[in-house]
Amino acid sequence: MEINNIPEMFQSKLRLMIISALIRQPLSFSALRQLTGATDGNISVQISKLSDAGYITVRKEFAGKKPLTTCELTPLGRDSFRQYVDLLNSILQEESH
Amino acid sequence: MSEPISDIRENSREESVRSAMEDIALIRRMIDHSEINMHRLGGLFLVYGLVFLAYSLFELFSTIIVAHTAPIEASASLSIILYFMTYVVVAVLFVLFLRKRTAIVKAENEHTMKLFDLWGVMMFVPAALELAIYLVAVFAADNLPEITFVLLRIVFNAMKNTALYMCIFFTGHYIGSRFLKIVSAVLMILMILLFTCGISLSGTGMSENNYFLQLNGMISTRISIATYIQIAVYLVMGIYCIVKQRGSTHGDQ
Repeated sequence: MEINNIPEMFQSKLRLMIISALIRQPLSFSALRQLTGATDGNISVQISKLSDAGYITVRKEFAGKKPLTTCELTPLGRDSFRQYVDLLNSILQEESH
Repeated sequence: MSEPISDIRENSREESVRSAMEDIALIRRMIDHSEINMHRLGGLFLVYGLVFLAYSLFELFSTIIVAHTAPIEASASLSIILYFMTYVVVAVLFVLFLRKRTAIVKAENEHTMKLFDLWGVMMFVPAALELAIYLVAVFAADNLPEITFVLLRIVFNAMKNTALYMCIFFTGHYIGSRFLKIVSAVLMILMILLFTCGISLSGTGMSENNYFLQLNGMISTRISIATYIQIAVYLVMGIYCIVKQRGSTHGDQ
């Protein structure tokens, strides 16, 4: 990944927050909302964009009578995230030299 | 006059560095907040393990002392006292659990609290099953044959252990620990062997009383073994969670 072709998915703070939160484990919609502090509408839009780009999968099921939406990072999302973190590290390392 | 190219490049580089630092701080914050606090869980397991260990040691020593020094009536009284003490132990654990939960609920994320609550509920499963056996014994004693009680003890104890090992499995699944999943599977197999191997429900060549006495003794021994395994499991899980949390924190940095 190069500095001048960073994927669009990492160019929004909220999308970056969602991807970072999902790196350890899948999370529910409400957990993501709580972690990011974003509104329902805003987070829905970003989840749709990440899902359309193939970075996350969205699973909808029922927990008892309540609907439960769970988001999980795909291998593509994980790889891209790693590359992005490597890029950030390389920028900071260059600066320190 | 426009900015020189070198200044534009310098500004762009500074902007990239600032942006990179912000993004890394954001990523770290999100990972920290979404991570399950294993240290909390580890502490909970250690408290469970130590309280059960203290109770088991008290039970063991008081039984030995009473058996060697007191009349048979004292032994009977002791077994009743010990039986009701199991509820006291659960009540003590409940108070400890609630105090800890209240202290950490605002500081911890939803995922840590979910696991914390799972193990809070788990604490009541053994007591609820013990109470179920007691109620069956009190209300249905006249109508049920003795073999049914033996079977009930086996089934209830198997359920008690299954609940514990299922909780370990779900915890392993939730935190992505293969170690805990394998441990729960091994313990499940061990528990099946413990409550099925060598237990015959049809005695031959001895009087009915002797047969039930022998069978009850065998079941009691196996329940004791299962209890010691349970204590060991809580203590090992406590240490494992605390070590895992420490390793994870250092690894991320």
